[in-house]
Amino acid sequence: MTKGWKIIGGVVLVLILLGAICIGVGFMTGGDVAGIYSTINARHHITEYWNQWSQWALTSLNNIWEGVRQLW
Amino acid sequence: MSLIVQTQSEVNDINKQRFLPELGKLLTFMVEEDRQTALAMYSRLFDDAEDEQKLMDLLVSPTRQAVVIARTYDAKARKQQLESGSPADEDDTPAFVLAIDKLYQQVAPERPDEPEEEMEPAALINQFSLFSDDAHPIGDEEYVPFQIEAEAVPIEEPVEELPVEESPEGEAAEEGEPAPAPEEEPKAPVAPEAAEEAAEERALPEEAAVPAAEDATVFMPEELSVPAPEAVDLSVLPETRQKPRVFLLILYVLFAVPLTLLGILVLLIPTVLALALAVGVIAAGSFLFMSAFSGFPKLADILIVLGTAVVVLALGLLLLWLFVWFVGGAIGGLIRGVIALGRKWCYKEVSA
Repeated sequence: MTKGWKIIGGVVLVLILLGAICIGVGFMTGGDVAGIYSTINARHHITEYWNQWSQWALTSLNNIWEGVRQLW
Repeated sequence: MSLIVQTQSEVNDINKQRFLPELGKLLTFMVEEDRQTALAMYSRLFDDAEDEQKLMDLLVSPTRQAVVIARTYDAKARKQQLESGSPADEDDTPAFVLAIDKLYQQVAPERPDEPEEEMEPAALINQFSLFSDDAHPIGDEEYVPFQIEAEAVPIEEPVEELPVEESPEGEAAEEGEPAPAPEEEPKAPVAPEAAEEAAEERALPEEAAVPAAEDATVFMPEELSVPAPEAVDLSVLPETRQKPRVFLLILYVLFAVPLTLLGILVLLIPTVLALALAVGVIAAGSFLFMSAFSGFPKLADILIVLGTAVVVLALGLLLLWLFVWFVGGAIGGLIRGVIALGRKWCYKEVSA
């Protein structure tokens, strides 16, 4: 297990470093987060999915909370 | 000399108590399991030997026996064999076991099928070359006890000098030089100075310290100037087995099983959480990775998305490993620990 931690830790560290370099280079060469978000959102409708999911989660939590209160 | 008047069994015990710990120290190059086996076999040899004098003539010294075993023992190969766990059939009997068994056949009274005339000692007293014994005979010379009237010379011998390769005689044998034949050794009483000189020339100095074979009735303390060590405790020899303390075991099982189950349930919560997070994060990372190559006009944007995807995938990998660690390390460790604790508390070692 100790050896596993070392290997996985090394791989994760290298990947994070690589990702950080990519992000850094992207920002330095004129990357735009707002543009990226709008492009992905236009293609995959992330905002809609997020709104639906958050609404479902809030409703579920409310129902659970009401059920617990009634039982109490 | 008062030892001579002791009974044969008492003498055996004295020799055994001196011989085995010394041998145990010298056999540290062996795998622990084999070392214990060898010591147990030598212990039995002492127990079953009818003729103490003959046994001591055969064994000569712990150093001699250590060399005999070292010559037939390949620690690396043996370790690999034990680790691979391959079942040992009769052909795979270790060579050192056969060597000790050969000694046993020569001294054990219950094996009369071996004619005494054909018996040869595993290592001759007057054999100083490490490579000239009955397994690798130099000639057909007869066994002639090496007689020295001089007093035994106590010599401190370091254990490190044991390996066969370090012996100058061994090197000589490897270089093709003929080993000295036993006839060339002094048969007649030798002067003390000559004996000391001969002892210094030997690869195994203790051999020179052996007193006149015919006079020796016991394994005399002078033969080993090394004090009886506590490195090998005879009670640790593998003639023990574990006996359960039944009441304690039942009690332990009654308490340990529910507690362990509770511990596993508690550990399952972060385990499942880690798995769910890992799956989610890896899915998000893969999604980002695929998105990077579709629809972004600028290389800078692609680089940012790719970098984010790589970081997210790295976190997903970490979470996945955390899940594996929870299953194999934490939960498995808990179970193993409980079993080990039960073995420690509820079992006791008794002699077989």
